[in-house]
Amino acid sequence: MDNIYLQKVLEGDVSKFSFFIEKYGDMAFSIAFRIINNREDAEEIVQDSFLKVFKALSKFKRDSKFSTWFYRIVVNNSLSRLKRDKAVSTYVDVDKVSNVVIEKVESVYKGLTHSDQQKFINIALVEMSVEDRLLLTLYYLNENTLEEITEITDIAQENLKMKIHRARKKMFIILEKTLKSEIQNLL
Amino acid sequence: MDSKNVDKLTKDILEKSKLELTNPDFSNILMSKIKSESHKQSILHNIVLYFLTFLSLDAIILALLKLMHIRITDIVPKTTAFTQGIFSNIQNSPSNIGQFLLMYFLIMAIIIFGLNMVSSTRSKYSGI
Repeated sequence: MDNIYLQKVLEGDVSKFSFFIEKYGDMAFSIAFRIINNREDAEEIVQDSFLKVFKALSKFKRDSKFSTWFYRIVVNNSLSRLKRDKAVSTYVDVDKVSNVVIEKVESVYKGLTHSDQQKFINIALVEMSVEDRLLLTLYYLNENTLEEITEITDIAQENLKMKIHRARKKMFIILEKTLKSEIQNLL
Repeated sequence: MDSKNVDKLTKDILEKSKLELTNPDFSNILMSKIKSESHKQSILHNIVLYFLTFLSLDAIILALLKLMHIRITDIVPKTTAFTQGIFSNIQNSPSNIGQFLLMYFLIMAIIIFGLNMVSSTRSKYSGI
């Protein structure tokens, strides 16, 4: 489907570019937001990335998916805006995570309202490092494959599985910490 | 809890972190920027195209004249003061060749500008 619209845009039907904005806009926004943690900046980055993609459309070699190419541009734009990881990420000892922690988080989390669930996961994500947030977003939320994530982030594929695994553990530890009061109420 | 279940739980939890562009004008603003970018690109593309067309046409005409051993100065009547002035300037004063080239590019720029105006007006009304 992407290729059909891509061809139409390249043939001069610029209005067909809105297809890509509708399809990838929200996910690009999620990725940019997870890196820079600011709504307005994330929106601006998505706009800039779409414009960049449009200008370079004729140079796009179709050996990878359009989405992978586009998300790579979003990640690069976000990282260059961020310059360096200014966010203070919480130190987490990932070896501490056990099935007990995961099960505790699961039982409390499932008992929360939808808006509370959103609130707690967003608090937890803010406390994580940019890389961890990005990897979890790409792997679990956008369901990118390891190959695609390597292409988007430039992280070697051999390290990727381990990094995602550790990021997942960190998320559970931070969630357990942020949900502590809820857990205590439950006990 | 096995890894598959933890994966599923992680996905369920992260599903709640999904964000959406809430600005209702986002798409419209972006599309208008893209359309104006496309317009700029097409103008630039046309300028290059017209410029190359003019240069190659002139080169072909000069090559044909050379092949047929025709000198412009022989075929253009030197009856008017204006043409006489131009030819004497070109033949007698090499420094005026610079002026001549300047004139040539100036005329070309005016023609290209005119053609661009016509083509962009046409595309504007044909909805491109």
